[in-house]
Amino acid sequence: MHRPLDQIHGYGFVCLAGGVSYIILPKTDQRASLRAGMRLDGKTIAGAAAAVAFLSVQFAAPWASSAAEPPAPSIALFTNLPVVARPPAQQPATGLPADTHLDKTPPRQTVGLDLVRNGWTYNCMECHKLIPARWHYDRPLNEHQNIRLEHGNNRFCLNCHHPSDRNAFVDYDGTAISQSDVVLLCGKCHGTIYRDWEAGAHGRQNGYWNPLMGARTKLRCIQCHDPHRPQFQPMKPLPPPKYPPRAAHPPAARDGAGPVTMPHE
Amino acid sequence: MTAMNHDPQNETGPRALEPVYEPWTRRSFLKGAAVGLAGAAGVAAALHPLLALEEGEVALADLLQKHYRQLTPEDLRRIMDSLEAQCEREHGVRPAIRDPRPLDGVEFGYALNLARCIGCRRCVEACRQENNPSRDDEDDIEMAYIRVLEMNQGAINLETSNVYYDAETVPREGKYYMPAQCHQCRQAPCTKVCPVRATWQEPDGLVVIDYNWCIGCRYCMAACPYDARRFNYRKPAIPPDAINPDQSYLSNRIRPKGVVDKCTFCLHRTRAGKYPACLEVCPTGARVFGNLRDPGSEIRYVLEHKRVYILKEEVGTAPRFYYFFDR
Repeated sequence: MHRPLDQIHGYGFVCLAGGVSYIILPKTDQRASLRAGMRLDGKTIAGAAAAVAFLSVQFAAPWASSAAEPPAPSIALFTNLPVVARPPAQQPATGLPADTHLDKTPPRQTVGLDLVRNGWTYNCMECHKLIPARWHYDRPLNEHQNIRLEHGNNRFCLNCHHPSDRNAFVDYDGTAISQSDVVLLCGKCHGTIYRDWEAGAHGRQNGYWNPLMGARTKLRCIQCHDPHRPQFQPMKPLPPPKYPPRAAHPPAARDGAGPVTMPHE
Repeated sequence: MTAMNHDPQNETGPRALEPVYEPWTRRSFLKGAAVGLAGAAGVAAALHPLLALEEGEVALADLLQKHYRQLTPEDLRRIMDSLEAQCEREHGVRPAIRDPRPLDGVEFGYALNLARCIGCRRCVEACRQENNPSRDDEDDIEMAYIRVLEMNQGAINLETSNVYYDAETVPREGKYYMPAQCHQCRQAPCTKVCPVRATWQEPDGLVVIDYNWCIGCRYCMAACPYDARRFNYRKPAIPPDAINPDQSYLSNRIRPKGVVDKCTFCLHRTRAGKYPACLEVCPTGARVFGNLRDPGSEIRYVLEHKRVYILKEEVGTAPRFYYFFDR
């Protein structure tokens, strides 16, 4: 699944080269062939410029590393991207600030929305104005290799992501759904759960149960579910209760059927 | 003739000459001394509270304190001040003990989604941090109010459940999880059996205990079908930095030795409008809390739209704690 770093850089270079050539080249048959290559399949046929770069990176690397070294500026471009992930402890707090004794960390660290809210300037369109949107399916992606799409039958990036505005999601009719309205995107398919969430019966709420006495925070879908892998991830449980020290039968098998703990009916 | 004039009353023989009143012997002296010492020890033990009174450990007012529901607000404030001082003396932390009263038009209800709970025990830990139970004592029994039962899928069978499960990750294959805590029953058996009426139901549905009135007979623990009550066999052991200073008289103040305590839906939080601590930390959002008398509350939404399960419904306790499923 994960490729060596130099290979990924090579792919990145390919993408960049392809994108640049896509923009620089005039509307000639060269550009048309590039587009055709993208549409067909990346495995065998590629656009002319992309194919040359791809082959040089792929085959030159083992024998002569200096022969196909990508130019320094493109490397700098890729290493200067802002770091996306932040540790969960730095996530914006949920719940009441007075409850310092309680652990209220959201189950999942989110990136996009909180990044923007916390003053990051990370903008998906900075790259994607160069790289056009494609319907990736049934083949490994060259970019975004950290993303594993395990969202049931939902296998297409552009089911959720907007084809031209990568900072937004897409509605059924092609209009954009902004990142802050991500629940509307999820509600496209998960309507019953969206209804429960609106009513407060699904998802985590913190703060005040009584709206007259204080505010309530509601976690959005992506603060618990990774949208690319939405099943709630298993957790390590906190340690079990102490068995009564002078009781007769200590738990025989930790993972088997333990002693009866509730009074008999 | 002599045989006919025999008078047993005036018989003179060896038996009649036995001494009725024995003189002091070594044996009788020791026996008497032992009995006397035991009696004196008993008297001293009985008088111990009075000795403590002289030494200033216990105020006379504490001994003569009335039941919570007969206290005037001034008396209650004075008692809570004295409890704060006692906590500072014994644990080195001065808490703020309050007595929040029930809100008008509020009856608390709690629902827990069995399809969502993954058994991570975060609620148990939050309860411990919020409610100041005894802990960190090797010889102590488990005092947290919440027990998470690991159940086998396919039935709700408490007899094959396990609270001592430990795993690398939860949920485990073929299991589901059912946290159990006080159900705040409408027909609460625990309040009916208390011989001194130290436990009762408040107008907002919470079953509470006056820890200063409880005599520690544990009838309520025997009566509870949900294993919701805990007994303080010893003086609570809490490290000072773990004490939650936000306390109330009826809920999470540090309990004395020899009384029963229980979950109160975090009364000191919920009567101030906040969510209980167990709900605050639940990572899956399986817990739903709200006002049963508010038709727009989320607890009412759950009761009206979901399949609801009541634990041991057949015993007729009519709990305010509901389990539900949503798929």
